[in-house]
Amino acid sequence: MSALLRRALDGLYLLSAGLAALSLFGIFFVMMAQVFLRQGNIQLPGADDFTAYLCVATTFFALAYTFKRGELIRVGLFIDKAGAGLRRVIELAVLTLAAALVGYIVYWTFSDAMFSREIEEVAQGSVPFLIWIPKLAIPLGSGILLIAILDELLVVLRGQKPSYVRAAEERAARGDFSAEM
Amino acid sequence: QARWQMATPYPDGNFHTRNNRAFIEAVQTATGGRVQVQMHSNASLLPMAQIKRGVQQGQVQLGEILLSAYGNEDPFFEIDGVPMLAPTIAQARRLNELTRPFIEARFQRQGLSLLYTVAWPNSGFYTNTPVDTLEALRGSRFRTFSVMTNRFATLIGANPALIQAAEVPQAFATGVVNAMVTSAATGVDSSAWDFSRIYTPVGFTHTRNAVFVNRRAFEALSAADQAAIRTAAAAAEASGWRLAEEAIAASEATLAQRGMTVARPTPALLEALDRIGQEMTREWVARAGEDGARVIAAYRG
Amino acid sequence: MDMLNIALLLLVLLCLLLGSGLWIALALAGTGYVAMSLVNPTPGLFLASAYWESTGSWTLAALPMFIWMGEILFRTKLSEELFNGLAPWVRRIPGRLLHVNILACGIFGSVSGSSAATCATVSKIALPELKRRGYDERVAIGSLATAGTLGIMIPPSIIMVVYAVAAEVSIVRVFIAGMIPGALVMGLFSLYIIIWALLNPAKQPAAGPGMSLWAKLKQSAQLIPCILLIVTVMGSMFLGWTTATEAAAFGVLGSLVLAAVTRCLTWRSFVDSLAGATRLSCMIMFILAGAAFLTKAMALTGIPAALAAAVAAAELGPFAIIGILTVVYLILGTALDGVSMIVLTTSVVVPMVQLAGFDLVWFGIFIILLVEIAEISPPLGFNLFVMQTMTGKEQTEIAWAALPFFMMLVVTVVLITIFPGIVTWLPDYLLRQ
Ligand code: NA
Ligand code: NA
Repeated sequence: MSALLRRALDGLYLLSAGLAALSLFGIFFVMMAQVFLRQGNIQLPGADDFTAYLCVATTFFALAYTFKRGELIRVGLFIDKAGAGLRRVIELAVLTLAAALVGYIVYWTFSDAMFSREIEEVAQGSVPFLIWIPKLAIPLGSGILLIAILDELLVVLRGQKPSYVRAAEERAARGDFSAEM
Repeated sequence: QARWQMATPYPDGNFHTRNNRAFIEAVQTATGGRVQVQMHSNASLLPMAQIKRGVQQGQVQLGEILLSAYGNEDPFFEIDGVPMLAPTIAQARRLNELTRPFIEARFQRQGLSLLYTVAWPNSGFYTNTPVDTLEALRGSRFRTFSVMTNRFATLIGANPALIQAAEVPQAFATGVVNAMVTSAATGVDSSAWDFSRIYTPVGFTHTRNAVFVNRRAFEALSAADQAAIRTAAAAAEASGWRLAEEAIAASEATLAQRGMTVARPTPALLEALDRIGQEMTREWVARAGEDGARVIAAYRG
Repeated sequence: MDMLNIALLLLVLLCLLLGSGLWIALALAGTGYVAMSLVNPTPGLFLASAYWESTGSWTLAALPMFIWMGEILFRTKLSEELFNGLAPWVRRIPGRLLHVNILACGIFGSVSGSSAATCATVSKIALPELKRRGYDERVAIGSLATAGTLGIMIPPSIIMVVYAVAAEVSIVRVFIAGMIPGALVMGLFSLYIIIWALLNPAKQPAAGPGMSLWAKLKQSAQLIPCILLIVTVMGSMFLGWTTATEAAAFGVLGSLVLAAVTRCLTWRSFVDSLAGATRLSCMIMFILAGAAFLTKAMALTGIPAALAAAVAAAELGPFAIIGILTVVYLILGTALDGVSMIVLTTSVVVPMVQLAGFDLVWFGIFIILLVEIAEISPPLGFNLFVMQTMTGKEQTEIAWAALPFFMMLVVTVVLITIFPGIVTWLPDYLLRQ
């Protein structure tokens, strides 16, 4: 794989994660704004719905990056004990299954967002947000996760260690999991 | 044989849910078991906001919604939320008859078919201090949950506070809000006596729940089965409204028995509310257009 | 195939998928897909609504806020000060600073409404510090995983709100009813730590030197920032500035201020804390989405309701009902999360329990205890997942470490069944007219 493509993909995961982090900060910002404005008897319209949408964005845009870092957890009980050859087979199997499942998620959540668009579904709160727009965060974020999974699948096919394993091993080598300073 | 799923938002003890259960049993009997319905109450399959679109999409075949929650989609659905437009259950029945064809037409366009609508009982103010005049609510922190209640709070000089239903008891107990408007039935469902002292029923609104079916699924049935379901729906509408009427007295009695003061509204309060109601009706007609104007004209006439 | 066989097959499938090393959130979605395919032609429609509604919720937004709060505090000196400040007072108590886990979860539980958030926040602060001081890791992990569930037993609590709405009982009453059982659970956890410490004196770090009262007090002055933070967050709620959900964001603000005042706030630490919180929130909420899809599949198959109905049909005496319900919820709790356990069964269970003469507020606390147990029982236990991320250890290892504390929760279930007054006395006393 060319270095350029590698950089582009890693940039995509990081950009998406940055968007997720901004969304999380947005939740904080909106909630605080609501609290302080309420003290001044001013209402922040649509704050509740908007916060919920930011929550969706936080979840799905961070997927690919979290996955790459090995922090999308799984039960490693057996896979960690398997020998190198068997391990590679299992990794390939779960990556393929994961790709299929995430592909299914992308397809259905995208068609769901498009249905919301078709029927012009709007939020029920004080601001009639068009629902399909925040809904797009799910297929978009999952789509980037799908790319990351396929990315790893190629890595394993080429006989290399997947990044989520490498990242986890590096953390283990540093010894302290909760201290990542 | 058709196996249908029904998604409803309210808990099992609520009279709407009980009425729905009776309806689906009637459907199963009347169609000789050719239509089987599995009911998922209390938002256990779909939350309220997803039910209507779920039926449109064919995800489930039957659904129940609070009609006035859909005001952003079509101002017409908001008519139930106009304060003091139908302060008694008799007036609410009349408004129900008049609006039904309009709602049906809108549902038809969306691939739905309206089966029946049932009102919530008379609503009123929950507070800790008496509401003898509308002035008493000026400056209060008024819990709102919709565009209509928000506008109302603004018009009476209260401070609208957007609070989710689940957070109301705690918000009341700690003073985030100190006034709200909802029915006596909902007050009983949420044990309002644990966080507020006075209930003043004013017939603020009689919002309605609508039960409807996916049109394609419905039309796939034989004509006889369709007719049987329509008959069962008419019976459910009749019994539902009866239950709503009974729920008024029963719920108020429960509130009183649990130690709340059920205050009769003063003429001054009702008069002031009526003025606000008139203004909000005008605003609603401006939003709802020609259909809205026709309904209001027929209702007043 | 009858319902019980389907249920067993699905549980086996879930365990297989999880065991294969498939990511947990996807294993749940996969099991949900298979379960729903058995009864519905278009699982994808339900998958889409599950993913949308489970991650897009106002009350859920408190979770990333509390997680961020933990990440910020972790980058301050707060944990060190907390343990320093308490150390002189617990010198003579067997287990010493391990009790701080329980206390901190209890205090934090009274601010946070979720068990995962409580577990994540307190672990982030306490684990490295306990490890540094040489405490037994196993007991530290087990106690944190389990005491984190105090987040839903001590009000405010998201699960209590879900139950109160479903069973149509007073939210305020259920909140108040959780206080004494919450304290009881804390007491039992501490009791276990004391017993364990007495039995394993070799596994204790050396006690610090004895101090005069004045020296103790002087050292405890380090607790002031921590106390100020707690008072701020709780105060924001009780003064009516914030709702329970907004209090979470207020906690973040308080932590940022604390970090700034103690000169621990740099642009770097700010970004790191935000990034860490984003990843952990993403992991938990993606699992929640998968679990929500599985829950919908369960609703359509009707398995949980059928289990509950089978108990109802047996027409047993009140104590037999509670006994069997405990078993049923323990089984459901292995593979379902707390909210699902409640919404899928209340339709059948609540009328039955009422008929058997149990108070519904009491039953709420009973169910909350079983949800707490479910949070730490594999294969699907959210606190196990949180601890897995925090420690890098395997789920099974954490579950074993939590087992003694799990037993303490079972003891609490027995105690409140024999003495229902533990639950009902306080709300009756405080809310009497
Ligand atoms: Na709590
Ligand atoms: Na579990």
